[in-house]
This record gives sequence, structure tokens and C-alpha cells, in this order.
Amino acid sequence: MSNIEMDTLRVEHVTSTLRAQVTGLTSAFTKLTDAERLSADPLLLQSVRTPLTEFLDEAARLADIIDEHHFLMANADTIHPTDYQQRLVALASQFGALAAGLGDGRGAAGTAAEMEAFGFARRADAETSAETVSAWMEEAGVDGFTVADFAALVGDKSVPQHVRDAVAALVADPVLMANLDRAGWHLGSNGHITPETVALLAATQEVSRGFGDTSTFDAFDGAKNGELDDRISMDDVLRVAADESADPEARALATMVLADPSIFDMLDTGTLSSGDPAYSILTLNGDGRISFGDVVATAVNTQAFEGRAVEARDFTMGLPSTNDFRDGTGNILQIKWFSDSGVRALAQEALTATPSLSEQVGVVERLPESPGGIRNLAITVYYRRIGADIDLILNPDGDGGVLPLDAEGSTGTNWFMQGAFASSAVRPVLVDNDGYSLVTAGWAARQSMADGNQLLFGSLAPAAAAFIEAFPPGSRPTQAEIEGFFRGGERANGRPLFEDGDRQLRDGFALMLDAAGDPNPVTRQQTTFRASLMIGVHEQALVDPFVDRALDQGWDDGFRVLGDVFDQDESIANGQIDPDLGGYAFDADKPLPVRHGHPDHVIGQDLTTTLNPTLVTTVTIGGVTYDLSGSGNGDVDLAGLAGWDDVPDVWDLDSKVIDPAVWHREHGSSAAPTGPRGRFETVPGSTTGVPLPGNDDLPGAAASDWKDYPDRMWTIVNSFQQTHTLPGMAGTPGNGFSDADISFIPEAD
Amino acid sequence: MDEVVVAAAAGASPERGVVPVDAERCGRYRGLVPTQHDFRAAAGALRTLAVTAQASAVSVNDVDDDLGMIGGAATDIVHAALHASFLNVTSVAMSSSATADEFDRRAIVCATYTTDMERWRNNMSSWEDNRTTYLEELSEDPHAVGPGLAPGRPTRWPLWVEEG
Repeated sequence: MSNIEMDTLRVEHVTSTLRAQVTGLTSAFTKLTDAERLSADPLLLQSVRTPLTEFLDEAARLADIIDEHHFLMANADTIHPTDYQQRLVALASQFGALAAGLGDGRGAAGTAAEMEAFGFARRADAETSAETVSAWMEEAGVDGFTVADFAALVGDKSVPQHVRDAVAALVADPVLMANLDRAGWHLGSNGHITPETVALLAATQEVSRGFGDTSTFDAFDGAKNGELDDRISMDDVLRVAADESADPEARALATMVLADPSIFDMLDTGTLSSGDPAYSILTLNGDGRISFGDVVATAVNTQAFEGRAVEARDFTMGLPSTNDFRDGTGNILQIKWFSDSGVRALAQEALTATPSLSEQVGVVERLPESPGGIRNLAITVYYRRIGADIDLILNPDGDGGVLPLDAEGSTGTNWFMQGAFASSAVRPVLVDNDGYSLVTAGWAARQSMADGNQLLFGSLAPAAAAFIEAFPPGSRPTQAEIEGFFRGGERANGRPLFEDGDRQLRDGFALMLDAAGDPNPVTRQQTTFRASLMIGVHEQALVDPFVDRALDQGWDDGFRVLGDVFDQDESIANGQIDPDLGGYAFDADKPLPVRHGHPDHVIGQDLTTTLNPTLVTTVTIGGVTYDLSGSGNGDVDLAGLAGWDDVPDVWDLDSKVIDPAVWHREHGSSAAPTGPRGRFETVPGSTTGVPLPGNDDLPGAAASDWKDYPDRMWTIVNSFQQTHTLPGMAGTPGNGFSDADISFIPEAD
Repeated sequence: MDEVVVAAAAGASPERGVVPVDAERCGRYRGLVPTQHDFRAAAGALRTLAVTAQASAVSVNDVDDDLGMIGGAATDIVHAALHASFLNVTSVAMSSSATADEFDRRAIVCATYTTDMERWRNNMSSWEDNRTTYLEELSEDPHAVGPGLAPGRPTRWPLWVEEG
């Protein structure tokens, strides 16, 4: 409500125009009621009635707001000498009413524009808990509280309910309380919660929101000498404050920081704001520079976007993803900087303002990760949702549900059903709760797991979401629509769906679409399996450097070194890969168990011939044959992913390296099913322990080194084969988390 | 054999004509099932509404282009709300127009059904006459030739189809 320029005459014209439209369409409402009466089909006409009602309601409110705002501004000097506060009060109630109207989910609603408008309106009225408490303390004139007295306010009926709610929210989160304590330390309030400490926390939240906009951050970062070095100094702040040509909002932020240098100090130590109670005076002294990591950590850990859903979404979408740079480098945002509660609150807020699946996966991808693996939970849940949505496209049962995976005619699993379990499988290392004897996973391994998890989700999920939205169940896409998706599709952030390094990913989706229209129960299952392999090739090549780093750590981080002491041939890390895919549990360094499935057209088939995905060169979709080897957008090879020399251009199962017979001869000597290390393990619900006739290569499917790409890939391919029609794959993986842990994620539509 | 049912329609418009009792089986319609004339009238009303809504969309778009306010959070809100209003009123125009097309289609189906029913009634009447004649002849001539199968009643589907 600041820095506004107004053409009074034009604004009056706008108001009268809006009111004229409301009057005109109110009269025209009789046409709708006539049509409803005559056609006796009001249900069909709901598509007219709903947006018309919404328009009349919202446009009328909007006209009132513009009129009020304009009147107060134009007459401020004569009517309200202190017009700013008056205007705030006058507008606050109207904004709330407008927000309620815009955000009711009706009309053309659900549209991004309406949600955006809803967010803008909420933002004008929104307060974080710290802001609410700060305003009340100032107004009530209280001096301050001990922590215990502050907590007791929750039950004090003399305190307004909304303030008690805000106090309760602060007290309930140890991280927020630790940040209040941090503010108190900077102000010397000796452990008391004073109006100044709460105000400092609120001001820190506001500045972190401002700096959290990358363009604003860059404007400050380069203010002194034009160089962007990811550091904002006090000199930068001074320059922006003095620069009359600078963006007004940036100058307002600079003025705020200069007025209270404690704000700068709070942000300077932002990466220490995750609430570790062990922080000390030493850790609270910053380096005199604010990095982007400081800003993001501060905004997340202090929950600066509480009540600001659209801002939270925009902030999150502006954060870096490991998938932005496919050169094997990790995310600059370190998991140890972030609190679980902060990431959880950000995710919940941002997803509230994100109606479409494509945008939701964009938000989930760019969430920071925390030591408790909050982003990992969201990724696992969204893999599961995507897998289920694709299953609905591939296997509709004609009654709104899906065929069971082991039903004749089912395609079996799609990669994303596997992906949910794979994402869940990295969780024990990521959150370091697996109890690896005396030595636990270090930060480097956990960071690599988190980065790899983000990288894969960022690469795969947006394309899958676009696939689901482009080809809903029962649709009959035209050739132009198919071409448009595979050659011209875009992600929510405007980047191409399939770019350098995405050929196998693209072909995987093409095969799935092929299978969706295939009535043959054998080939539709085998084609879908090949699709999973194609996508598996893509994801494992992409994540290769992260696997390498996670499993090969230095002295500071690792059990790997000690593992080598105990067993030179098989590291502890390698032995810690113990996936559980829908009940099919195996140790990656031991022979894979065999299961029989019926009807199953994948188990027992030769991976080098029948199921070899590299033999697929064309797909036929809707009667049109597409050449997968053709040129065009996305027609690139895996080398484009990072330039790793050891990643094959294409996954060639006939190549010497992973030919099953050669592989078995060279690596499988310990794989015979005798003795404790070579035993076949029991898989619930299936006939196990007995190799399929003629399929005795399976005992060779044990990875001697999980870091070795073809070695790892061969084990993965075999596990895909064994679980392709396993009913348990349709379930939700639970690996150290419960429904309550994922309750911050909004329900799917 | 189907029974030809012609019921008086209380409160029906002059064009409504006859109403099969089938209409009463459809709980979705609390009143009478519309005729082709009703559907045409509904389509006309919706087209008028669509024109009004489209004109409003243009006006909303015009004021959004030049709001007379620049900068500040309030301006952002107004623009965003105008976008939502534009989408809503455009949706009114598009849905009205599309539904008017649907009602025109229904009117054609109803008209066809009306014609078919009229033809069927005539054929049925002739068949009844022939059948009466046949029964009379049969008492005198055991080899009398019958009237053949009764004409099939036109299919009435879906439920909104009505004569008139």
C-alpha cells in the first residue's frame, strides 16, 4: 500500500466501468434463469451460473475497494491527517472479504489467476505469528516475559485469541523459540522475550522475504562494485539505500536494515538458524556477509512465509535445484542449514497456492532438504501419486479404478511406482537413522543422497506430470498432440520437457503411451517394462556421481573407510543397499531372490533379447508410427547429462560389460545359492527360493560395487523384472515414516 | 405392442402439444420435459447472455490495461482480481455459447423425434385399421392375409427428448 501513483480521473472511470458491468450482468442474469427454466437442466448450466455469480460478487467488491482506496488517498490530507494507519484499517477488512471471495475455489477458479489474486489479497492481510505477537506486545505495552511466562500466555483468557494462537505456534516449535533466543542474544535481553526481540524476529522475517527474491538479492549483492559473489555486505546495503534510482522496495529493505543493524546480524548467521541448541556465542558471530544460503535458511527456519501461500510458492520456485546444473555438482543449500519444521511449514504453505500437478512437482523439487528428510517425504509421496496417475492411464478398469498389477491385461508397474520405493530407500542414509553400528552416515553422504534424490525428481517428475496432464485416462490424443508433447512440451518453469540428455526419458514415455493403447496383454506388459528400463537407464546415469560420492566418503564422513578395513572386497556402504520394493526385499550385494508371478510376461523373459529396450526403435501410438531414433528436440544421448566418460551413450545389454553370461563369469563367482551369503531369500507372497527354469542367471544379479554403473544397473534391471507385476508395488512405501509425518502435504485432487 | 399414450399437459405452453408419460419417470425434471421450442428459447437467452458477458470481458480487459494506479501492493491485488474477473466473465461467455449450441442440438433431436412419432402414430393408426379389417376377414376366410408386424415405436433416448 505504499509507493503508489494514481490518476484520480482514470481510477474513477475504472470504478464506474466495473459497476456498470456488474449492473449489466445482473440484468442479464434473467437470461440464465430463463434458460434454466426452459431447458429444465440447471445442472448443465452450472458452468454458466458459477462464474457469473463469482464475477458479480468479486467485481462488486473490487469496485468498492478501488473506490475506498482512491478516496482515502485523494482526500487524505483533509480527512485523515494520519491517513496511512487509517487507510490500513479501512482496507484490511475489505482485503479479507475480497480474499475470501477469490479463494473460495468457485468460478473460473482453481485457475492460476484466481489463486494468484487470492494470494495477493491474503498477503496484504497476512501476518506471521511473530508479527502478530509483536503488534500485540507493542499495543499492550508489556515489558517482556520469561520463557515460562510467555508460554503461559496461551492459557491467559485476557489475551486476544488470535494472539494466544500465535504464541502457541511459537512455543510449539523449538526452532522458532531458538530463533527468538537468538534475537534476544543479539539484543542482550538475557533470555527474556521482550517486545524488541519479537520485533527483531518479525523484521528479520520481512527482510529475508525481500532478500529471498533472487533479483533483489542480486541488486544488493552487486551494489558496491557490480560483482555478484553471493555476499551482501553492509556497504552493499548502504549503497542501495543511497541510490535514488534503485527499486523502491529494495531501498525500503535497505532502510530497514540500516535502522536496526541487528537484522543484518540475524541474517549473517542465518545458516545457524536451524535451531541446534548447541549454538554458542562464537557461532553467533557472523562473517559480516549475508550469503543467499543465509537468507534462505533464515526465511525457512523462522517460517517467514507463514500465511503467505503465493509468496511461499514463488520463493520456493526461485530456489536452486540440483537438476539446474547437470554437471554432477550438488546443491549449494546444505541440509544441515534447515530445520524439519521450517521445511515442513514452507512446503505446506507453498503447495496450498499450487493447484496443478505440474506446479506442485516444481515446488516439491525446489524445497530445501532438512536432516529429517522432509523433502524426501514429499518426493516419495509425489512419486507415488504420479505412479498411481500413470497406472490409471495405462490400466483403467472401466469403473474409475485400476486393474491389479497381477491381473491379466495389466501393464504391470510403471517406473514411478518403482521410484516411490527407491526414494524411500535412500531415506535411512539421508536421515542417518539406520544405526550403522558405531559409524554413522556423515553429512557428505547425507547431502549426496539428498542431492541425488532432488536431481532425479527434478528430471523425471515434471515430465511425468506433463504426461499425465497431456494424456488423461481415456483420451485419444491426436498426432499433433503427441508430437507437441514429445517435441515441444515445456515444464512449469518454461524449460523444455526433454532436453540434452533426456532421450531415454523421452523414449520411456513414448513406450508407455504405446502400451496404453495396446490390447495385447503380453506386449503391453513387456513394452511398459521396457519403458521402465529406459527411464531407469536415464536416472541411474544421471545420479551416478552422487552415488559415487555417497558411497565413497573421506575420513570425516565415513564408514566406507572403516568398511574397507573390515572387508576389502565389499565395503560396508555397498552392503547397506537393502531395498524393499513392495515387499520384495533384497541385499544388493547378494543374489537376488526369484519370484514367480502369474500372469506375468516379464519374469523368465530374456533381458538381452525379448526385453532389451535398445532393440526398440519405433513406437506406434494411435495408428501412427514414431521413430524413436529420429532427430529433434530431446534426441540426444546420455553423454549430455554430465560428460562422464564412463556413462554409455546408450544402454546396450549386448555389450560385453553387462552381458549376463560374461558378467556372471567375471563377477558372479560368489553367487551360487549355497551358504549364508549366497542364499535365496524369502519373498512374502510368492514362491521363492527356487530359480525359474532356464533363468539361472539371476543369482548373478548381485552388485559387487554399487558405484559401478553397469554393475548397479544390472541389479536394478533384475529387481525391476522380479517386481514388475508384484501387487505390493501398488502400495505406499513406508520406510521410517507414518501418515502423520506426511500430513503437511495437501491431499491429491 | 406399445401403447400410444397421449396425456394433457397442465400448464404447458401452446406449442408443447403432447407429453408421453415417460417424462414422469425422470426424477431429474421436476417440471415438464422441455420441447424443441423450449430448447430454442433457452439457446436464444444464452446467446444474449454470451454477448453481454463478452462485452464485459472487453471492458474488464480495458480497465486492467490502464488502471490509473501504478505501484504498491493494492495495485497488485487489483490487477490480480481483475484477471480473475476477466476469466470468470469470459467463462460465462464461452459456457453460455457452448450450452446454447447444445440446446440447439437438443431442439433438432426433439424435432426429429416429434416427426418420427407423428409418422409412427399415423402408421400405427393404419395398422390398427388393417388389423381390425383382418380380424373381420378372418371370421370368413381362414386364409386371410394379416396386417404384419405393428410398426416399431421410435426410440426415445436420452431422457430429455420430448415431442412438441
